[in-house]
Amino acid sequence: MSEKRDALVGVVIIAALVVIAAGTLWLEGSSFSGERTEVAAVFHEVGQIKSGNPVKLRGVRIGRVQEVEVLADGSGVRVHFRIQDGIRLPEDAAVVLSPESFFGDWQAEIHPRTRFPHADFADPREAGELPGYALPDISQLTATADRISENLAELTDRVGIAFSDETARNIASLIGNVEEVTERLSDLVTQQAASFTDVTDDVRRATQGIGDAALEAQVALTRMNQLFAQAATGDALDDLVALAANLRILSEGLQDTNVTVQSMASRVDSAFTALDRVVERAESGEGSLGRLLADPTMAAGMEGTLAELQVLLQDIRENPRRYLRLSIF
Amino acid sequence: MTRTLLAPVRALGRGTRVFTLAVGSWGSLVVDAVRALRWVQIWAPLTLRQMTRIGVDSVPIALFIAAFTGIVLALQASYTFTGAIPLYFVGVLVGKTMMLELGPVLTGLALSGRVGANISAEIGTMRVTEQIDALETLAYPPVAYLVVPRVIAGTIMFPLVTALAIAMGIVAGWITAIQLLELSTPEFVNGLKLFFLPFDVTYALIKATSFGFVVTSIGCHFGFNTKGGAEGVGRSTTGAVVASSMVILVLDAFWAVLLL
Repeated sequence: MSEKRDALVGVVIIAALVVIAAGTLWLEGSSFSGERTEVAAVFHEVGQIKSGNPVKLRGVRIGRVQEVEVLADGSGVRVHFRIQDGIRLPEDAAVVLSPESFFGDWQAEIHPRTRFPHADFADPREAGELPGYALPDISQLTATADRISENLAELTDRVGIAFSDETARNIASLIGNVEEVTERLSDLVTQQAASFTDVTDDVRRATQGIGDAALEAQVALTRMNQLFAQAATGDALDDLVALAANLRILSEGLQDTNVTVQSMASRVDSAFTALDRVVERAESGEGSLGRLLADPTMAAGMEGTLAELQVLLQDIRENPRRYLRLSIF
Repeated sequence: MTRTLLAPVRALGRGTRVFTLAVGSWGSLVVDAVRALRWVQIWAPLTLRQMTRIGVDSVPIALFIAAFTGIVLALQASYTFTGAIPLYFVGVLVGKTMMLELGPVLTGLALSGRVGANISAEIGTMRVTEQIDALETLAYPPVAYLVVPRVIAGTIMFPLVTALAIAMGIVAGWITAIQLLELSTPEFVNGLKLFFLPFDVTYALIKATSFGFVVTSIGCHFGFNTKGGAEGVGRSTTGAVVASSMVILVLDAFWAVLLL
């Protein structure tokens, strides 16, 4: 009985110890076989990485985080990893810490450093160490998104303030003005198009006339050739010379007349300018004429004077002797 | 009138006095047990037998409780984890809950009823039948003979039984997850490993060890202080179970505050 009891106690103890040891190692992710290699990496900060988190290469779990320690000078964090022996890491290997899921579990992934050209990797402190970088946590991303949303809300408020009822009315008025301008431009374009059509017709007619003239000139040249070809060419040339001389004389006469007309136009122009000045002064009330035109009292005075003058003339006609005395001796 | 008004105050004072005396008496027994460790030749042969009674014989009830706890945990987790939370978190909840809380506490409570009551009734009966007095008359240290083997056996066996119970709870949760829930073994294991820390096991064993010590020592205390006849034995047994259960819960909170 005692031996059986001893055996039972022994079995329970062994079973419990095996369960504790094997269960802990299994859940921790420890391997019971195979060589292990230690790798260390340096980070500025490590997020929520902790001992036991998986280490992955190209998505495959090859080890786990062994230890996390802050550097003695406080400038960074050194993380030790235990990975399967014999695995060849990339030439420019770097360790990137990132959340494995949305629920707070993190992982360490070994990548070529060139895959993250903009990441701020911590420089290794010792030979054999790898550079490390921790991706932002979900909470950090959420905080950034929160700041962005705050900025958007502020921007929206500002737009709301700027886009008041008065601004809306101004914009509506502006749109109305633009529509009016557009209509006017449209009318102008329509008119210009009509004018352009007319001009085009004129040009077409002018072109037609030029063409006709060219034909006539050609006919004339043809006739001239015929004339030159005939014997009376000398007489015709003489006549043409005489005609040209007459035309020159006529032209010179017309030129003199033109000069005379220009001089006369200049004088007329200066006369009109003087008249314009007089009219301008009269309109502004300067001078006697201006005052006469602008001042009604003066006009009334003039009218009174004229009336008295008419009375005087009438009296002179009727009684000339009162004013004129003619004596010969 | 004055007596009526002062009754609650008197009850508070009496309760404090009784509690203090009980704690003092328990502390005194513990000190005596520590002193009695020098009689190895007395308690060592008896310890193995107590380990059988306290540990081995308690394994079936502990596994039974843990198995159904694991099943319920898995089902309740799947019931709760709908929508955004992936179902593999059933493994997280079953593992963490069994290791950190339910494994040690439920095992401790179950064994406080079985072991604590057994110890208190046995020693209480020896007390009322004056067998303990006879041991003292024979210059045989009763603490070394009755208390030390039981406390050592309980302190050693409680964490072992608790470890087996935790494993059984996790296995039961795993079987439930793959049989009754749309969860595969890799998913459950992934969840189980997701937030596992070796300290979880250490924490569970520390709690279970402390539970084993208080359950056995409190049972011995109530048994040693049994008065009267069979009624006194019953009262001591009840007191031992109630006190052990309360201390287990208080210790549970204490370790959580201290270690987590």
